[in-house]
Amino acid sequence: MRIAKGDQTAFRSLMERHARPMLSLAQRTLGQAEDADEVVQEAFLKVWTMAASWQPDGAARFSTWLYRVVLNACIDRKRRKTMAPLDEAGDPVDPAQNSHDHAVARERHALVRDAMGDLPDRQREALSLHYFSDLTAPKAAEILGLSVSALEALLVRGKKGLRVALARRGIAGLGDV
Amino acid sequence: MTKHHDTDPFAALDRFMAESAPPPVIDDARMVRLANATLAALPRQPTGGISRSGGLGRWRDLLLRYAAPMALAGLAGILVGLFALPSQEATPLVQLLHPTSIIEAKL
Repeated sequence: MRIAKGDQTAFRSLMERHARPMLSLAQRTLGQAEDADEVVQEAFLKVWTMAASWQPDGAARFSTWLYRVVLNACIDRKRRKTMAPLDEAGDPVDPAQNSHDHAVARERHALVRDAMGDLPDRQREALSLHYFSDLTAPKAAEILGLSVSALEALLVRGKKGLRVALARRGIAGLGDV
Repeated sequence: MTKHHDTDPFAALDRFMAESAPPPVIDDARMVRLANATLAALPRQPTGGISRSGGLGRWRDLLLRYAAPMALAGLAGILVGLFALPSQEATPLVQLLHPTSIIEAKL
C-alpha cells in the first residue's frame, strides 16, 4: 500500500474517493457541518496512522471499516454533547434554506438527535445508517457486523424506541407508542 | 436505505425522519479544505506495524529509552552490592572477587 510508505498523493486520492459519503453520514448524524468535518478528518488521520498495519485482504473491506470508524466517532461525539440550546447550535448544515424553514428544520433535527440519544448504542448506530446514509441494507448490516435479518430486527426495536422518545418530547402521530 | 410505504407501521416515523434530516452540504470548496487540513495534520510517517522502518524505529526508540538504561542501572546495582558489602557479611563470591576481605575477616 503506497500510503503505508508515506505517499501523500495516494492518500489524497483515497480521501477524494471516500470522503463524500463519510461527510454526508457525519453531517446528517451530527447536524453540524463543522463537527462532521472534524470527525471525517480524524477518521482519515486514523487511516494514515494505521496504514502500515492495514491488511487489504482482511475480512473487512476498507470502506466498511471507514464507515464504522466515522459512525462510532459520530455516536461518541453525540454522547459527549448534551442537547445544546438552539442559539448555541453553531452553523447549520444547509445555510441556503430560508430562515423560517431553516429554524424549523434545526429544531426538528435537534429533537431527533436528542431523542436518539435515549436509545442504546446499537439501535442508534442502526438508525443512523438507516436514516442518514444511502447505504443498502446488506452494506449497513456488514458495517454493523450483523446479518440483514438481525439488522432489520434491530431497526424495528430502534424505531419503536425512537417513537416513544419522540412522543415524550411532544411529537405525536407517528404511530402506536 | 429501506424505502417506506403506507402499509409500513413505521411509515409516519420514516416520513418525519426524512423531513427532519438536513440535506448534507458537500461542495468542492469544503472537500478541498478538508483534504488540505487533513494533509497538514498528518504525522510525518505512517506507523502501527513492525514490518516497516517506521515501526522498527519505534521499537528501537523504546529499547533506547527504557530497556538500555534499566540494564545499566541493574549492572551498577550488582557491582555496588558486590564491593560495598561489609566484609563480615561477605559471601564466598565477594571474597573471591575482593581478597582483602578474607584477611579482614580473619583479623
